[in-house]
Amino acid sequence: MSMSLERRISIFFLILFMVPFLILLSIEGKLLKNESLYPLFYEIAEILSLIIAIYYFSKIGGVWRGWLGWLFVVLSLVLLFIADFAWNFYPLFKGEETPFPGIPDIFYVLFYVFAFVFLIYFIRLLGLEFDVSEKFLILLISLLFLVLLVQGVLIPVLRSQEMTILSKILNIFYIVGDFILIILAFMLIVKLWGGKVAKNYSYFILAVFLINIGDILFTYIFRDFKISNWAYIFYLASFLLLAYSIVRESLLHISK
Amino acid sequence: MKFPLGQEIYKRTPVYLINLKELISWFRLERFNGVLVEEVSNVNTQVLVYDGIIPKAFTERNGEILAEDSNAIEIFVNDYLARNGFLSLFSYDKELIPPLLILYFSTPNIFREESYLFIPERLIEDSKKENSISHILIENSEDKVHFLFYDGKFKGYYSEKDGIIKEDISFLSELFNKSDSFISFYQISCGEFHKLNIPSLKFSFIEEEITKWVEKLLEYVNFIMRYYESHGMYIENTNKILDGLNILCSSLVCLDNKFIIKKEIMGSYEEVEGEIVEVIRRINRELSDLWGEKFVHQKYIQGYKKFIEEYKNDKKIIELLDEINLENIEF
Repeated sequence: MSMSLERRISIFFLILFMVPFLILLSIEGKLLKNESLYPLFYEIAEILSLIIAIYYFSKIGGVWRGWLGWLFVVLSLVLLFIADFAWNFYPLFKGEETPFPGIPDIFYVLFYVFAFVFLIYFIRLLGLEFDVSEKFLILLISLLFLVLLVQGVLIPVLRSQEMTILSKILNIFYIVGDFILIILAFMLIVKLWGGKVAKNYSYFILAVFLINIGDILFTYIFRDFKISNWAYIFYLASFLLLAYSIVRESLLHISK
Repeated sequence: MKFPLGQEIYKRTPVYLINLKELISWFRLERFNGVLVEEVSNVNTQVLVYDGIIPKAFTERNGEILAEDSNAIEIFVNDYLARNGFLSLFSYDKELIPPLLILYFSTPNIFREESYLFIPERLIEDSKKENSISHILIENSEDKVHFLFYDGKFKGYYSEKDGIIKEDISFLSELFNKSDSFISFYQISCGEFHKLNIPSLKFSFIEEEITKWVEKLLEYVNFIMRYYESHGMYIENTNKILDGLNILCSSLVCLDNKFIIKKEIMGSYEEVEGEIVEVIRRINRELSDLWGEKFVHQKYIQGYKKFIEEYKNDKKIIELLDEINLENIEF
């Protein structure tokens, strides 16, 4: 029996992730000397996944009211791609570190705005109403995250002596942005649990989680980053997951 | 009796014991062949049913025809509604009806000629030609006797006095010898019979009602579909919703996510009701697969409540929804 389209796409996405990941491991293990191979394959993986996502999304009929919502995700993915490309431009073409804050941050910020609009659009379109237990669950998760966020990220960033005001604002924006996106996506998952659509939101939420981990790693651990930074592999995984969620959602709405 | 009596299903049953709506729907569904007789004192109405449709009906009083076709059905329905009289139902072998019908819907080869002018054996021989449908009518001052042939086979004869079907063909010669007998002979080929324009009479109030009833329920189904759509939930392939349904699959069509009646509903209330419920179930199941059962259930109930609110002045639909208990549908 031939493999389903969905399975073939997921294997392809896995390959798109594994190639830069193995290159990163080889660089870390000193097997590869040329560090710029990593951002190169990183960009290739992103552009291929973006093309696939746009291709499948273009096949959905515009009649579906949710189409507009997913258009925001596609746009946010495009912005993320531009941001990552701008970020990798320095090491790839100039052989130097990317300045932070810099031009890529404009696109990263816009990515958050579009992703936020996507989630709000769906929450309003679906007219979500929560019962007591669901509200409790969402509140509990939000509080837990908030405590971790304030304790683990916000206070240390604010107290930091090394960061400029702008990098402090940006770091806080990214992490608070991740927090808001995770909570909003979580609200959708709680309500749509059990349906195929919920799975796509869970890929979305997982992607935002990975961005979040990447942001925390970036803010804390690898501030003195190199070209092949470990934080980037989380960003790449999240990009691929976002593209994958667009493909899966599109496949649900393409007329068979 | 204008039509023979056939095999008895029930006889002289008080009309109030019979659900006429269900009976007519059952005729349609089962493609019933036979005759339904209503008797009110000395007036009787005979309704011929052929393959589920009603091509001919008569109301008679002591052999005198009072009304025919739609008028006869109107008398039938009025007496039924007045809970007057008795109903009898007889079934036929399907092949018995075409020779009956050609008497009304084809031109005769011989029309009311004196019988002594003809040789009965030749007529029988003619009637036994393969692929032909024949009807020999012999009438005299006292009675009318019909001899019926289908595809060259003798199917029996009956007299209008008692309506009982008999199979002794030699009786034909006996009738020919009577002095005041007149003969009519009708014959057409089986192919021509299928080209005849045989009407389908309607039990007006009942059949309009079942269609109106389905229309009302579809109003609800379409409202729910629109409600789902307005919340970003829609079904990609609506055609499969009707797949395999006995009645609605051939009677409904879905255009732009809206169900409409494309042809006459041929089914019993109970079955149509069951299938409407199944349609809603399938819609909900299809959406649950995408959006999760819990969410679809919540939206369904919201849609139901919104519908009740908007249609609160339409008592008929509210009663219908209540009757079918659409609020608590499981899927």
